[in-house]
Amino acid sequence: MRKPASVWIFIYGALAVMFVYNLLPFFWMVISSFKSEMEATLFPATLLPDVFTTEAYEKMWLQEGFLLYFKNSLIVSLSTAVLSSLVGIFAGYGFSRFRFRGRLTLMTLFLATQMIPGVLLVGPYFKMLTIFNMYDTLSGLILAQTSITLPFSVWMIKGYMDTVPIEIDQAAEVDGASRLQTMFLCIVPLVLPGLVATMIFAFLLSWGDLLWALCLISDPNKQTMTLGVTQLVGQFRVFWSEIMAATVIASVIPATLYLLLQRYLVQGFTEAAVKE
Amino acid sequence: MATVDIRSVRKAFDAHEVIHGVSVLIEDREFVVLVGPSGCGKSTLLRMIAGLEDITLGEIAIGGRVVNDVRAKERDIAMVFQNYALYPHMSVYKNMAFSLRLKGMDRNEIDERVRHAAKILNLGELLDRQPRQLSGGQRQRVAMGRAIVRNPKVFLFDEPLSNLDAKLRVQMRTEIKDLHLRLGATTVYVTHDQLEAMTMADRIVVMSDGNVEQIGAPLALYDHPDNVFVAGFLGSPAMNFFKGTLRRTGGEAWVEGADGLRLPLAQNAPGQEGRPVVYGIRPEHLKVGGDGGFFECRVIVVETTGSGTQVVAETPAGRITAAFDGRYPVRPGESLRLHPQLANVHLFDATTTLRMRSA
Repeated sequence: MRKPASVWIFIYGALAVMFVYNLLPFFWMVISSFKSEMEATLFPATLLPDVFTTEAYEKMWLQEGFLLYFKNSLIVSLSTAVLSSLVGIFAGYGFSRFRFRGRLTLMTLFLATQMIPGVLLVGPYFKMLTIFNMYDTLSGLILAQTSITLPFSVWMIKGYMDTVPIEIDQAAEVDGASRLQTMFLCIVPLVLPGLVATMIFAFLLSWGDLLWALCLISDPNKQTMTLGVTQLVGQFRVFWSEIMAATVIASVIPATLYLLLQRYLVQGFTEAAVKE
Repeated sequence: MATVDIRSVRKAFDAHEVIHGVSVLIEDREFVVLVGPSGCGKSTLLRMIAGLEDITLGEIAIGGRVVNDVRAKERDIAMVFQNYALYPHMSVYKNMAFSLRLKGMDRNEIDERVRHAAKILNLGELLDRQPRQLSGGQRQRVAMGRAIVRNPKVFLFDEPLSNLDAKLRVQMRTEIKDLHLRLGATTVYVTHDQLEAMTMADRIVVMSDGNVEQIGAPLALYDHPDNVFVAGFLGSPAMNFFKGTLRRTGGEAWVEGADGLRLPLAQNAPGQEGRPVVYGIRPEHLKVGGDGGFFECRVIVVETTGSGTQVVAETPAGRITAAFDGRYPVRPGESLRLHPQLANVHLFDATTTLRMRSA
């Protein structure tokens, strides 16, 4: 059925509003990063830079040690993504395939942990990591962030595994596969798109984290990207163009991930609905 | 190859018992079909043979070895699932080679076995395809190929044809049967389709509600069903049943149905005067014309299949279906006299539903 023109005008009007609403901050970020320090704080602000300069980028990368922060962030986020997915595979498989006493309770508990604000957990984590001598280490930060992303990863992976018919497991069992072989040779390859989606989520959560890095890292050499940005906010002045330059770089990674893996992401999200 | 001996097997899920002590001895090289309506426990029984379900009580022995505590992969069985359960991410070749690779078999031998099985099943040109690129019938054949390569003691089929369209089902039925004749492997086949059971089985095990109703060769079950359930389950169109009371006067015997309908019996029919019975007659054992007792009825529906004609008609005691070979010129609304062939009338006890036998 053809929709009348007024409906189309409304649809495109609404889309245009959303488009501006979503992309304006991003636009502002990119534009500001190419302004000089003076111009970035100018009022009224300039829509496009009067003088186009890469000064902020040079300063940030060459002087402020952002390359190191970037590397740290990458290490922490990648490890968190891999670790939470790996553990998630085992836990997700267990929840998906075994009917044991307390299964539902356990799964609900897993989900419930997501409702506790991270701020409340920082204290205990700080204490625990100190006890285990892991305060101010990247591995400590990775562990802490994994514990935050894990419940979510487990639920997602369980969901994807639920879409794989149990007969696949049984066929594998009859074929002589052990549980581990069944999991890694038959089930994981089938939920790969979902697994990638899960990893991206964990990665992004970890990549954007400030709270945990702020509380569990103090060594300047172990700071992450987000932590670095906060330091550009001084007591007396804010280095807007540098902050913007840092965030532009920081957004490049997630944006690239989305672009490269969007096929998997979409496939992962729709997998549950469409059964072959 | 091997026998499968099921001895007083019971299965309970928590407190709920679904199989109430089933015993079947499946001979070496035999093709046995477990048939029954959905929920009768046939699939559960098959899965217990496979080792995918625990056995609550009783024993299952394969080739003389009790396998209650033997894991599925060590039972030397192969199973074909209803949805085929092919590994979607593996090519046809890899699907078939999977179990052999897990065994650590030599690459050349794997190749030889896979190609041999592919040849038997006409899969030669599909070996590089992915399962999603195959038709339903081809997937089914791959699932069988996966079973064949392992050269197992026992083949288990769990409703393998129910996802196929009618025409393909008939074709695959023949293929499976042919395969069984060629390989001579002991086969246990589960289906809810009585026609599949009748056409494929050496012996049929009819189940309902977790019990075995009757075991026997297809035609033996068809001609001499032990009870009303088996009589009604096997055969399409199904047997006609009428409740009534057995009457004997002089040399004559008949069943008095509802509304005084007189259902003719052979003189030597079993049972005493006054006994409540169920009178059964198959649609193809009703003829038009002849002498002796008959059903006076009015035609409701005429269904022609080309090779035969089915007539559904109304009698005072309920509907009756008759099946004739070829074409039969009759129209809805007409009245008809249907003569049961007395030798083929089945009598069952109304309370026990068991077949009544001559003393």
